[in-house]
Amino acid sequence: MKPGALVFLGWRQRLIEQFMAQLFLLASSGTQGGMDQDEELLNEIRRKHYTLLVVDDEEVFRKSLCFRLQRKYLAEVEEVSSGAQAIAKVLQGNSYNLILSDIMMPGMTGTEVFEELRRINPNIRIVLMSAYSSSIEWKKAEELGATLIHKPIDDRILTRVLSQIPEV
Amino acid sequence: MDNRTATSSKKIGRFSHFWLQIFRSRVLLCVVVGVFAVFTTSAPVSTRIWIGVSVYFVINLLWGFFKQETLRRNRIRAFPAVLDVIFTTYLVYLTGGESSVWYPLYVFPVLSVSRYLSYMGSVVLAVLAAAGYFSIAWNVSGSASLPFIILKSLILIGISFVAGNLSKARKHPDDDLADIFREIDTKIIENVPIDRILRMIIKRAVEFTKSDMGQLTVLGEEPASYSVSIESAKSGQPVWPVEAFSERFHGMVRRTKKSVSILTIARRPRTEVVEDVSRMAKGGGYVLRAYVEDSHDIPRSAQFVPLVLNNEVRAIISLYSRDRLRYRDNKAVRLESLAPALGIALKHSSEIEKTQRLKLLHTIGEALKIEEGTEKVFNTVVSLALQQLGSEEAALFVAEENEKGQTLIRKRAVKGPTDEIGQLLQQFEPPYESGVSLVGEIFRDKEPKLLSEVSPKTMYHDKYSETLPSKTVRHYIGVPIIIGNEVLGVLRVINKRAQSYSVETGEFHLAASGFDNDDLQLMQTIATQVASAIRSTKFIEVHRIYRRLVENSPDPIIVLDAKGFITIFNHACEKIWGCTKEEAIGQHVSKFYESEEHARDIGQQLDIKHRLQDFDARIRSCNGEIIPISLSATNLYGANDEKVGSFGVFKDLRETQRLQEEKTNAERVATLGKLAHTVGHEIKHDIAVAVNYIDVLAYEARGDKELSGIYRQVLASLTEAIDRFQNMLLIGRPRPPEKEVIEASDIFRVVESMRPRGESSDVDLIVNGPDHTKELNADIGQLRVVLSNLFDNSLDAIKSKRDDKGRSDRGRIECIGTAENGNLKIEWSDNGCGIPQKKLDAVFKAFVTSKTTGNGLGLFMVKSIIENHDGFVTVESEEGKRTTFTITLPLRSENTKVSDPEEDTR
Repeated sequence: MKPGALVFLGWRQRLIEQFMAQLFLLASSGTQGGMDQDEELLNEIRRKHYTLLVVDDEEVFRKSLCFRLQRKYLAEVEEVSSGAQAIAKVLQGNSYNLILSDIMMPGMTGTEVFEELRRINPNIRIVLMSAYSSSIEWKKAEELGATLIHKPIDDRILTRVLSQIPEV
Repeated sequence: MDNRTATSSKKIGRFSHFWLQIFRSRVLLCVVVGVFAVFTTSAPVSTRIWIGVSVYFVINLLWGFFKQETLRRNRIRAFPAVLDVIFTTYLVYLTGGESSVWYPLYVFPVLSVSRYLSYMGSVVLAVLAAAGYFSIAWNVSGSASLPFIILKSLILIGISFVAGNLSKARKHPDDDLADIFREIDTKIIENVPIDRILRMIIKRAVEFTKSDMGQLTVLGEEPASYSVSIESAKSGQPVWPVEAFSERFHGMVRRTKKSVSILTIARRPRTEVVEDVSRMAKGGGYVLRAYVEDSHDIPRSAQFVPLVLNNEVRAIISLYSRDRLRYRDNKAVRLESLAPALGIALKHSSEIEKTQRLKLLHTIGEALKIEEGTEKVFNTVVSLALQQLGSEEAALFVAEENEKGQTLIRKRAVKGPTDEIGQLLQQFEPPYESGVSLVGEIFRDKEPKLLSEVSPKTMYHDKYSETLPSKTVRHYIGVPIIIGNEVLGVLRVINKRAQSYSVETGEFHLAASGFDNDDLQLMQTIATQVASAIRSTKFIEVHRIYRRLVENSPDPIIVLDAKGFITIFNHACEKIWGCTKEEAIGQHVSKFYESEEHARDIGQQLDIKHRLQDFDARIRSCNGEIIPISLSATNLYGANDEKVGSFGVFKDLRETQRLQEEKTNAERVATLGKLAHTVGHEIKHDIAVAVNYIDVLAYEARGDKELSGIYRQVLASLTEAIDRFQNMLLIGRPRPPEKEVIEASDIFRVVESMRPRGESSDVDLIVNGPDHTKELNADIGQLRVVLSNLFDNSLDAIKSKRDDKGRSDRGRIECIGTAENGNLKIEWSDNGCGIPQKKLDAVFKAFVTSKTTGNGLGLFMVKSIIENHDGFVTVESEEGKRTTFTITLPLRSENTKVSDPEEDTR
């Protein structure tokens, strides 16, 4: 692991990442090389069947992310443009293996969505994304113990986040 | 005085004429003794004699180093004689004691001193000689020749008596006069006050003529305006009231410049009018019979002798006797020859007086010169008055206007016999109005007051008599201080002290006579000096305030004369121009402006407009620096509207400009930060979109190595772009570093990763880190920003150098890390174009750049990041050769903190 790769994450984030990386390394002992690891992780993810919900008000980004998830990670993806819609989806009984939500959104912020969804279902997996690592919302989310990733999303980080999704 | 200068002009080299007299005879003696020693004595003795002669000769030579005046003093005159005695005694000792042939030599000094030391001098010297001879002869010859020794000693003393008698007998009647002359001369040399000399003259004149009373009237330059009258009578003798009588004849004497003898004096008969019976003779006039007003005792004869100097009667000696026909002979007339002596004495005394006045003036002048303020000058004045007048109290009152426009005379300085009393005196006597009390009257009338009795009803009489040690207020002089028609104040003294007055012994007697006209005159002299002093003090006070204002002005002020030469150059000017007042004053102002044309331009503008307000100008400091200033100037015009100079106030605009610049920079940084935040967010989003797609593309192209490589490259570039934005965000809102424990080698690994970029630009990268065990607390992400900035700078510097020289030298970047004193030192150097020395200080400032495409933020960020890591960064550069940045970061051991060397030296 290159420490430089994690430069844009807060230290807590980085600790989590490192912890996860260690876990992964333990789990996939016997394999060699970073790239190979990543590729293997990717293949594993592609073999899984899982559903994601992407929440972002920016359509262009949302679409591109969905495309990336579908095409590269073979995920089943649903998308909404606001926090309220996301909550509605969950309340409607839809279940997602992972919810990816932007933080800075008009109306409900990502943090609020995170809090709300956790209240509805504490086991729900939510990852928050933002281009602002210095915003107050980011800090708040960090304090709530949410998993945070930077926009633009690094492929390795995305791979690792998706690899956390348990096999259905 | 004339006599003395005449004799001293006869000096031979540095030796005086008088000394020559002493020396000549001694030289003869030395030669004689020397020659005789050779012929009459054996070798060892003659050698010793020669030594003795040499010493004697040398000492006599040394007399020549005394001033003539000193040598002529009686006590000093005895010294050569005593030396003669000692020398003779030595000769006697060497040549056989009692039987010595040199014995008669003793006679020589003994005889010689009789002339000027009279009897007693001779005898004392003879006793001295006899004692010397006796002891030496006794030692050398033994007791066998004792009778001879005693006899010879006695002979010496006998000779001294004879010599004394001889000198007395030899005396001509005129010698008495000569003695008087000599005495006067001595007294003058000893700086005896003139009145004592005059008293002595008249005393001698009375003795000389065997008169019973004498009077010396010194006439001033203007007839009758000034006269000193000194009377002398033998003790117990009555003093006749002869003023009216003598005045009658003084006029005659002054007119004829001849002496007048009054052979007989009689009481004027009451019934008849009788004329004096007089006749003027050739050698002088004589009056057969003169009459005086009836009085119970009258002198019976009198003589008036004029002392004529420069064809003018300077003084008249009046002599009175109780015997008739006392002054028949012309003996008294010989007193006329005292005139030169009197002249010398008078001149001398007037010179002393002049000197004292000069001293007075000088003291006041000095006090003024130091500009110590009016209080100091006033205090000096009262001290002087007290000292010069010998008074118990002296005070200075100065006229002032109160707020009602009323003139009050306020006591500004006072002095008593002691400082404590002076302070007590300070406490009373509030300001007088004009005409109130004595001081007020003097002020109003512009007339001095000389009182020998002060009425107890006078204001503050009680206070003064209570405070003054003499417990009385008796003598009083007050003089107005006048300039033109204006009375500035009053100078006053109280109580003349007696000789015995002393604070130490507690005797506070006052002089019986009180103040006299001389004292009044002296007071007026002081008052005249004080008048000008007060006026100039007032002037100086104003002048000084003005000067102080100019000198202490925070803005540079220059005053020029009509031709543009600097006359005033204040302290602030010294600072801004960097040269001293002394260097600047007298120089032409054009040297101090940017250029002569610029100076001329300003001069012309000023002449047209008469005044300039906030005119933008540029000055040239002494080290050639051009400084922008704002000039406000005005021409100064004299009484006839001619230009007499100009006056300019400068404002250094550098500070203003610098502050303005700093403000602008801060604003720009803030704006940029804001911009970065808003735009940065957008751009990040855009890139985030691109990254999403490219990631897919890269994945899809994973079979095609080349294509997937390109996609990875695109991703890396986008990441780089994000990094740069991250930098910009840091500037706008500096984020504290998120420190973690990293190894020093991590930093150098980051540098290592830049190698490919270097190679593509023909730049060698040399990385040399310290051993890997060193750890530090740092935000590696922020350090990467630092290093990539340095790397970019170095690359640019190398490229710029290549462009300048038109050559493609191989570039070289070195990054050397060393651990020392608990710090990690990273020396980053390149062989690029370097940074000009002048710009070195500014490189770390925001928006300072030498690159055409730079934004001037790189090094600003480097500095802020390093400082956020408790480190510091410095730069050295040699233009055209190399640049070295040195970063010092604290290593993670024993909680060390980097100390900034600059702070240490501050």
